[in-house]
Amino acid sequence: MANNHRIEWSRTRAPACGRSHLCSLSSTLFLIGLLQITSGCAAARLTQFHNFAQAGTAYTKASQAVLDEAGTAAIEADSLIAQKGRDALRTADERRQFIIGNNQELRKRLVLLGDIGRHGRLLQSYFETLAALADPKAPETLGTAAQGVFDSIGALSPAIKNASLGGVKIGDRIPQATNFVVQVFKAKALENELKARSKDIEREIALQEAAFTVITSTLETDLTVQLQLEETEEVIEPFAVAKELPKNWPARREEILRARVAVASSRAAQEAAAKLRESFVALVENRLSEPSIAGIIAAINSMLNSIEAIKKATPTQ
Amino acid sequence: MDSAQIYSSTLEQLNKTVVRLTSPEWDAKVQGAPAEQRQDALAELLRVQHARLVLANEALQDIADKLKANEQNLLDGQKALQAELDKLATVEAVLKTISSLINVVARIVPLI
Repeated sequence: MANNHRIEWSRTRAPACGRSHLCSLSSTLFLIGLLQITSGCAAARLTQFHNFAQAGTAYTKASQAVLDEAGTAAIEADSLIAQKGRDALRTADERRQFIIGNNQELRKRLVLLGDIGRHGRLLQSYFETLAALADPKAPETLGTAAQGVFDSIGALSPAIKNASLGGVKIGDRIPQATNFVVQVFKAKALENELKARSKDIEREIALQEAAFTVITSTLETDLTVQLQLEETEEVIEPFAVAKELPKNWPARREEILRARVAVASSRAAQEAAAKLRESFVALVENRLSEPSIAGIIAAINSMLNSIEAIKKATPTQ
Repeated sequence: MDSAQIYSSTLEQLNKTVVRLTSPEWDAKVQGAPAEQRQDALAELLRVQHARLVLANEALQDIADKLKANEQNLLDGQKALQAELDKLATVEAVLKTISSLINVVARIVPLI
């Protein structure tokens, strides 16, 4: 079960070529289901961009799972607290006001999580456009397409930068810009695109990193609240007072305890975004290596494993 | 301390508090308390949860002045609350410090 959603990659030999960092890339990489057969430098470059786009797609899918989990955990934690504390609200009007107020706040949070997800998906589209631009036969219209995707990313990012979550303004957590120089590429459309926008795109990936730094901290609190309440209701109380323990009591106890540990690993999302950013810079500098892609895949798998462990322990989701 | 730090530390304290108030240890403590305190403990749990949701969604620039104006009360409240959460001596003492801090937070953001 744990391995069902994991992303695997394997490698195949790339042909030797006599140029720059490309030659140090002795193997080309591909994600499962994608076979890249390369011949010559142009093909090796295509492979690099293609593999990066694939890693970007995998990152977007996995990060969407984290965003979904963050939304679900916030709602679940709030619902469990509301249920537990409902008796303390003495009148129907008090109860109505409480739940309307909290629903309103949760909706605001879901809107922000949705924006971060859309921002990630637009980045994925941009990486796919770059991969297409790496092909020397790419049509000229692709440059316009890249501009269009970039404009959409730029339109979304101020809302995310200015948003606060868990007491932290996302914009304040953006890591410092990395200095890098765009390499010379034979595909001129690609080179022009990278020269025009790669520094801005690096900042947009940094925004993803900042967003996940903030999200995982909030997610940890919500999940801890949820799991603690479940531990009390489903493990401690039945053990203390029930005449007979439910048959699934040992299994449930184990799930909850294991999920408490898994919560701590939810920071993998931020690590995956950081690795994606590092790899993007390496790609632009024409030095994307096998360990870089392997590093992203490992971080993405770590994200998926942690989400899976949490989902398993919170079956109400 | 600048308003961003006051904001973060206040919310962090509310997060720590909600985690403590939903812990099995706190639940056991409350179960041994008188009925009225049990009721108050649930009411404070709801207030803390509501306050952390509202504060977390608030844009810092909109509340910066109010945070600064209430800085000392917020910091004193956080310190006192954390000390009580660490000791967990009596339910009454913990609830009193929670209520005190939430009342200050209510001066910064509108709470139910």
